[in-house]
Amino acid sequence: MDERIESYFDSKMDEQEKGRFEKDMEQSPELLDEIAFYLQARISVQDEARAATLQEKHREWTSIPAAEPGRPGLFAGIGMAAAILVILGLYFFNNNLRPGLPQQASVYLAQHYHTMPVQLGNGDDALQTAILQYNKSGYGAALQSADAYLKNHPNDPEGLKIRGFANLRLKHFDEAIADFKHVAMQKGLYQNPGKFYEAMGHLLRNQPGDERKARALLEEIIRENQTGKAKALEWLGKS
Amino acid sequence: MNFSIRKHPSDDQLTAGIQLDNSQRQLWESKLYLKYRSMISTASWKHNLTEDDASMAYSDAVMTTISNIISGRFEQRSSLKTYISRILEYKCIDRIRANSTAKSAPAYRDALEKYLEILPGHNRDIVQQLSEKYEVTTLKKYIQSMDEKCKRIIIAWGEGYHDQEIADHMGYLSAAVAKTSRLRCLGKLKTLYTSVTLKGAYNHG
Repeated sequence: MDERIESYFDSKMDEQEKGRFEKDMEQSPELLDEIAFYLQARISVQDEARAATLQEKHREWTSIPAAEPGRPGLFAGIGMAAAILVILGLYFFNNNLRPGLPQQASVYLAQHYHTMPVQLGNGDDALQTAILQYNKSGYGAALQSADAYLKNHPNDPEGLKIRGFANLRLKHFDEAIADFKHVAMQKGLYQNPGKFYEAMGHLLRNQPGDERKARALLEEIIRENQTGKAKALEWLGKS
Repeated sequence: MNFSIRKHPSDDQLTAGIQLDNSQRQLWESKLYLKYRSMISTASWKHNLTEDDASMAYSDAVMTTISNIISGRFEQRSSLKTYISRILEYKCIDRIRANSTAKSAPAYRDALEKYLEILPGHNRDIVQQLSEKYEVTTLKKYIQSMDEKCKRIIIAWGEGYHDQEIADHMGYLSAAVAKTSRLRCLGKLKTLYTSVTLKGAYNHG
């Protein structure tokens, strides 16, 4: 194979060499045929390499779960499972009944959302303060800080979430449900558990119609494959 | 487990992250893929493609976007959403064509066009006509049937390795020796292709 072909297409020739090569092209059909082969071979191997990379990337990307939360550590998992078994055991012992949805939600809240991740780079200290206060179980103070934050960022999902959970912990169920509904309405989030929080709020308030409303929300989460689907399936006895 | 809220990164964060030259790049590539993943079902519906085909076309569009971000060809004149969606259109059409014909896909022709532009005008048509003799799909098959050393050196070249890197990895004395060996392997490939296709043409004749 004529080495000059590659130099020509990689622009590694000076003007003189290039001129000579182009002149040779005029006089040699064999050289033109060799160029045609070289180009097709080059395209073939580049395409083959790209196809292999694409397959690899496609496999990697399609294996990313659809907006699933991270798994808890092994010991945390064992601890949670044990605590839930104890609570459920006590419940069965006392009631001799299968726990209803509101009870399952109470158990769930007792085991989760004690701490919230601190948000980095937001630039507004009020949110960080609210999270830190919440994480130290200072729910009243967290509520005030979240309120202050939401005055400037009324639609911020993290602010609404913190205020919603602070309200939930303080048993201000109506306010918590309103905050969670607001989170659920947020667009542009690739993981939005707002509907799941809202269902939890209804189950914990446990007033007439709340369980029906929560069931409808959980069914919606399952149908639309939204965040919290696995838990919704479990609570509705469909897993 | 706590279900937490996750926000999509902005275009600026994504392009800056993908331009990083370290292990973080992979993470940002995945974030870009995730951000517009919903385009798959729209593309499947719009082009009447299977979900698998649309999903592959989307991965292809994201990969092209990533390579254009890295090379600086993505100049942020449009949003990443618009940019990916335009590329996805082409990738879906390519896929439909590839499904309906065994002939060279448009992508090969586009690649050839770019090289032909380098040639003087009057030689372009001749080389284009001559190149039709050498089917890309058949060439790929013959590369796979070559001896291991030739196959490795040709594939490494296709993956974009320079002759010096090939020399270092495959034990050649120098970049020049690697280049000579590679071009000799290409010569062998041409002989193999010509002899088999000529034999095939003779048998059919």
